[in-house]
Amino acid sequence: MKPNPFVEATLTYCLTYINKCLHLRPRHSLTAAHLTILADNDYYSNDPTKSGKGRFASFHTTISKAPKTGLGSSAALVTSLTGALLAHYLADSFDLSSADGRRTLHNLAQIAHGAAQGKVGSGFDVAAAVYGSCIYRRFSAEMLADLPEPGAAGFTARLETLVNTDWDGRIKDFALPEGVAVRMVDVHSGTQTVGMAKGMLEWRRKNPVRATELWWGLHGLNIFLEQQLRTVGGSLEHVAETIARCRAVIRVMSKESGVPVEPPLQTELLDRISAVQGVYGGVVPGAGGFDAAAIVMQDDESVLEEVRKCCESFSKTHVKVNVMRVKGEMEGARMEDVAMFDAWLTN
Amino acid sequence: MGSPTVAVSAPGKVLLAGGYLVLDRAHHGLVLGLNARINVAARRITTSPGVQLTEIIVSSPQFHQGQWRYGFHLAGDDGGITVTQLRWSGIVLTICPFRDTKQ
Repeated sequence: MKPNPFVEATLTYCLTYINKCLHLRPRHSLTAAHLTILADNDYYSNDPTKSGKGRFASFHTTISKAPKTGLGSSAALVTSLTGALLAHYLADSFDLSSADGRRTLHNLAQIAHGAAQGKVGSGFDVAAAVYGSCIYRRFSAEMLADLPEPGAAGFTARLETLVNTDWDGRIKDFALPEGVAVRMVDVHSGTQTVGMAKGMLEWRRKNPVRATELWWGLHGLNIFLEQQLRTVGGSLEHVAETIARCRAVIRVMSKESGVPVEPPLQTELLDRISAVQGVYGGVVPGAGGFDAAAIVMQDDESVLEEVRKCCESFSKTHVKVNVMRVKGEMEGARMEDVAMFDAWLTN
Repeated sequence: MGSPTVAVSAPGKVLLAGGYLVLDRAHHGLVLGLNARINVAARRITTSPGVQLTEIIVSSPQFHQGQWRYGFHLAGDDGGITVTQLRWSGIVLTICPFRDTKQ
């Protein structure tokens, strides 16, 4: 079996932390365990290798060969593995519904995820996996700078301290207003985008004045968007206009940096979908690129059907795109009924 | 006796606003959870009395060959738990035919 750095890092960091906690109590030790992972179907594209009804499909292929959608799942994987390990070994002290429990899960999953990626990212993906929808300000990367490598002297003590302290990031709950949905479109462009973040940071370093101007311009527009999409006190009247203005700045960023945050193919797709009645607009999510689009729209079957039709006609003339069933939701990590694993738990 | 099986899930995400900006503490991002989740169940592996396994099995049963096995041990000097991936199919024979050495 091909090594999986995310699984391996999660086990290393979690078991170290858990073993330390267990040592405080006599007659507890790390015992052998079996972890079973089930991923919802939207993480993988519809294709002939996928079969089975029910909630979880089976694939006639290995995990590395299964065609993935643009959703990305590493943060959700690390977070759910971490949560399951904590809930299993620390059953009498870990409580996922408490603020302390979520902090433990968040800090540990951030550290493991960063270690698996070989760098400390902004951490927004792990934050959403733990806390659900939120307005996220990152933690300082320096916080993790003095954590020794696993196996090195003093690793356990430093890890324990880091996991058990409040970090300097900020996570503010966010919920979309009633009647508004965010849906994802899978774009099968066949174009891989690598090194986009690196390219953009390089451009920013070389053009600090211009970059600052664009960054703060977009910052202000993002605040507008957050306010307008707020459940209480928001107003949907100008959402379409605000999204269009955000995209305009993003296209300037793309053009001047040469990094395809919103490449022309996506501009065409987003413009067409935005013209559908009941759609507020769409963006290329995250770092941008070719593989996905996020659509803000009325949460309504007839609007969804129109967006589907729009995607079908785009697929005929450009590249294949399809609306996924996946939808934005508020809730973060949670305990689940093990009944969903029935038929999947074998030895 | 053995602790019951527990399960935890975590949602996927979409960064709707704040790409690149979110890398910087001066700015922030608007991130939404998605209703596509990764679900993980954890349970104890029961062994015969007196036998202690130091092993974690991670299965991804939706896929072919979706299983990893790890051994773990305590490192010295407060270095924590070290994890090593084990060969997944039990016994793996490595055969080195003579022709390899002639190439």
